[in-house]
Amino acid sequence: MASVTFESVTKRFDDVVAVDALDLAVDDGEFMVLLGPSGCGKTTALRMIAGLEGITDGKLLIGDQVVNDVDPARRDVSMVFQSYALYPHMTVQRNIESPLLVRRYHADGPDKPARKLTRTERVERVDEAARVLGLDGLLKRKPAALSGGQRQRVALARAFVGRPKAFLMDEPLSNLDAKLRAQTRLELVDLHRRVETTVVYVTHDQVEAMTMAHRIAILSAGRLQQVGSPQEVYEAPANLFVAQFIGTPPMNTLNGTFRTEGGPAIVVGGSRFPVPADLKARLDEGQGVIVGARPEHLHVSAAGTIAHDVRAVEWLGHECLVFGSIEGSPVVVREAGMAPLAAGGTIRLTVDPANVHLFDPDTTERLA
Amino acid sequence: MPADVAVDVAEPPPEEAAPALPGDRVLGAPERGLTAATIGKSSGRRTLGLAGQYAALVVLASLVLVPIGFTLIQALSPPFPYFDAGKPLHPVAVDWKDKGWLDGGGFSVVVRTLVVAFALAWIQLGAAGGRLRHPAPLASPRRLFAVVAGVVAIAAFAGQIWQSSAERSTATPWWWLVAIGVLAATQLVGFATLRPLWKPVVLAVLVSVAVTACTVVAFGAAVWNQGWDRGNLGSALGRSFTITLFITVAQVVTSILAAYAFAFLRFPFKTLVFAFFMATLLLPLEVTLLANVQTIRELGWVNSNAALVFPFAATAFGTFLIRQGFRGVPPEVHDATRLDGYGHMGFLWRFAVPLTRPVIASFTVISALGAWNQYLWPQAVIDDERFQTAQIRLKTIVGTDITNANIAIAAALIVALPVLLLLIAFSRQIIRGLTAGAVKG
Amino acid sequence: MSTAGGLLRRRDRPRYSAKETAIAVALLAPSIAVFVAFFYRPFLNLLYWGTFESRANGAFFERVGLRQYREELTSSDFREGLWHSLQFVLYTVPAGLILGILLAVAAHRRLRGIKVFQAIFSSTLASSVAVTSVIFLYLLHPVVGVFRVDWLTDPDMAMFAVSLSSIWQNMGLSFIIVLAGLQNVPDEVMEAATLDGYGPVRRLVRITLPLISPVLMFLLVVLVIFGLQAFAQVDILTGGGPAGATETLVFKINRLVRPDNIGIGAVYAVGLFFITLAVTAVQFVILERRVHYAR
Repeated sequence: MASVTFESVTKRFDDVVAVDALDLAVDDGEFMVLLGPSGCGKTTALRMIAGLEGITDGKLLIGDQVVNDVDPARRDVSMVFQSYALYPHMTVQRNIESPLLVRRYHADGPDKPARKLTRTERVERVDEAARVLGLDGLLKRKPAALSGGQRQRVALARAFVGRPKAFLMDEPLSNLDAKLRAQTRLELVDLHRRVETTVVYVTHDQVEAMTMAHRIAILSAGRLQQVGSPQEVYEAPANLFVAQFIGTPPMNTLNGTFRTEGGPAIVVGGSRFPVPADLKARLDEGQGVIVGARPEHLHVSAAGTIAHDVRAVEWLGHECLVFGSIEGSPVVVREAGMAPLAAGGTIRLTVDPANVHLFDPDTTERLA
Repeated sequence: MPADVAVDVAEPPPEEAAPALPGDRVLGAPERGLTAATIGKSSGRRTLGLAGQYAALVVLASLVLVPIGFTLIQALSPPFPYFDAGKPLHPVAVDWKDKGWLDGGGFSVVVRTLVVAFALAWIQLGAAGGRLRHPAPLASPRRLFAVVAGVVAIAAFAGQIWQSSAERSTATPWWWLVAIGVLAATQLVGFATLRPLWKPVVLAVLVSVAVTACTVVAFGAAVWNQGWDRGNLGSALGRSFTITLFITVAQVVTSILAAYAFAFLRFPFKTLVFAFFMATLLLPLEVTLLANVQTIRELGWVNSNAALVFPFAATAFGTFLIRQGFRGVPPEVHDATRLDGYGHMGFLWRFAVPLTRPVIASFTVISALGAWNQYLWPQAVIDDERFQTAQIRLKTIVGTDITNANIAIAAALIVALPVLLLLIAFSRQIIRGLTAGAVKG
Repeated sequence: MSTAGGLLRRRDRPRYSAKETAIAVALLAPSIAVFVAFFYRPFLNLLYWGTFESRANGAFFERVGLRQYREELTSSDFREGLWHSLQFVLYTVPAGLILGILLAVAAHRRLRGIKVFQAIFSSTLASSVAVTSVIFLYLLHPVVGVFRVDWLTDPDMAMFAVSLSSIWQNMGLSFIIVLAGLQNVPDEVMEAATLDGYGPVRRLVRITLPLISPVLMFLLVVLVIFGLQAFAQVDILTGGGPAGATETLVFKINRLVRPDNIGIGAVYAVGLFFITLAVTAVQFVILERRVHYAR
């Protein structure tokens, strides 16, 4: 296994910049998720690691080596494609065996020269991979005779049978139904724990990112927005985009002004938001800010300083979602249990200053 | 084991536990681990690969183009001076028309000008990233200037090239250079927005060389007229055009009607009738030739258009293709139209046909191509030269005086022109029609 | 709507509506008329005429029955015609397949200007058999040709020369068909093969060819049928010569259109029918047996 490092990597397709000066270091053995909406460049970045896309500018390193011009076949990475890309005319066994057929491996030890594997060795490794992924008994079947979940596991088996330096995964769960997806997420995390390879995983689903990643790299329009652990990106989003992308329902954001009259607060019309302690001294009177608060951090309180006009309430049994607006901007509140609130009318909300996020209205960056 | 060997041999060291239980680190201890050969060095192989790919493409393209190239050269030169001069690659003794652009009859002038204008407009549009269906990028002043000025340039200098070529004067190469230069300048204006800067220059030069050469050869060489006149191509092409039109219309109409019956109507013995249709595919013309010729003779249709058209008025291939298309119409649409009060014909012409337009278009073009290219049947039922179609007229031209290579070739190329235009205009439809049986979807 | 007794048997389903049937008949009538007049009736006539020996004035002379079939189909003339057609097929079909694969594989990639090459490769579609034959006549003609070779007048080389023109002409069609097949192979499968370490040649042989084999099969059948039907190229290039060395089966049949030979001609035509039928049947069997992958 090895690290993967992007040093100011750019990819241009004619006039379109798909990846813009990306600086990202994936540590050895880490599970890094590239997260972002469609078209943000995450798949392009992944394909650049594999060598399936050329690099316009910058350097890409696998381990210590610059691999910009190295053939995909010689980079020692493997990829699980969104469509699995199994060879339709080969059996499961031959599919999994495929990476072991042509390449040379240091099968005798890291110091011995690389050689081709013998048939016995190949069979042994294929059986092992099949066993780990629960594919026993399916080895003689062809992909057309497998279910979606089984095909995905064959793709995974093929990917790791050669112990590549890095696993690349391009939205591998998106073709599975919801239940299978949840189950496979657990299995993937398990697999990573056992195999301990560097994994770079692309998805647009933040649930997958939050549950599986060691660190998440969020991209938008080719640019890296933030990289950090799930906790970091959740609790301290670096800009408005990240704040609104992570979390379901997304963070509520409103335009407000910092006022000191009656105590430091962000004023949004008739509502007042408390200011995080470390920012109180750093803001100017009358400064415009964007204030954000997650739905789960807003609480109904008769003594609250925030006025929320309720439009609808959805009771989900264990919690309820209150849809409404503050000064005309839509705001969602999440409360535990079955809080008896009625649609129409206004409620008052309160929020802990530590859970208030402030962003610069021009740069959309976090104020800290 | 021999009895005298000591028994208390130490137990062999326990083998590393075979990975068996899930949850273990099953995938090989590092010593037994598998690492691939180290990452390859960066290779110049990528650029070499690129050059190699282009080289292969050029070699293969020449397989296609070389026969055409030689043929074109042959067309321009009368045969014997051509190789008596020992110069197979040079058109010697080309017969040029001694006239200017505006000579040769109003019709010719108009056609010439329009063709050149269209070609220049198409190129400018392509460079601007537009397509023929969306000609908006052409409307910019600099591109319009390029097209108009380009046409003027060609008109001004092509005639000079022709005349000086006909007179075999030494000024000809200079006229060529002037023509190419001026044309390139006008085209440069249209390409000026392209970057990097070498692009518009190279493109302008290439385009002007190509357009000038094509214009001079296509409109200035006398052999095209000679081929047309000596081969009497006017009547033959007219006949080919007529019967192609009739055959295509007939095939499309009968196929649509039959396909509608198979796709949307319920009637007894439908499967049997369908098999009856499809079985005709096993009876190609080559098999039924004799009997069909006899039928034509009995009907007295020898040398008539009827003989050329009626045997091909219906085709199972078209019925099959369009039936497939009709089956793609969602049944809900059909139901909705019935609720709206449309009868069969209404549904057919207002819904079924428009919804399957791509398939019908493909079939129409393929049908036209087939009709135009027919050879076996026309030569079997036409024995009077006056009624020949273009394809079999070629054989007569060749047979008349086989050594007049340039005339025969010119005639052949003229006959090929309509198909080439069809291919360019409808390439997508043609490809779809040809691959219909090969690939699904 | 309830029925007395509550049993709705299959017979109670609406029968074919007379009106709909009438409309169907009207729609199918034109096609059926053409098929009967120019496909089925002629074929039946042929079968019948094959049993007659005819004479110079075209009258159907003597009913000789199936004997004529046996005689003519085993005659040296027929076998010669069949052999020449087969020769043509053997020359044009493998070359067509190989060239089709080469052209399509070369042009199925993302390179600048690839569309130009694709247009060039498919351009031979524009050339009809007659035009192609004229082109190659004047390339190969011993006196006025570009390459003054005597292939067309050499009995041993004549068929090869004729085949050459068809090989060139078929390039466009082969290219387009194989390209369509290649375009149906998912890019990601090829990328997976690349990552597995397969080089370009190995990818072609192990992955691409197996996956496009249905398309290649289709092309094979198309080319074989074209080959068996070869006529125009022989007519223009050699006129059947030299000394009958290029007379394909269809060429012979066409020559037998003269009324004095209809009996024999009919026999030949029926022979051609069964040969083509056999080829089509083999195609059907092989194509249906191929499993369609991962749909």
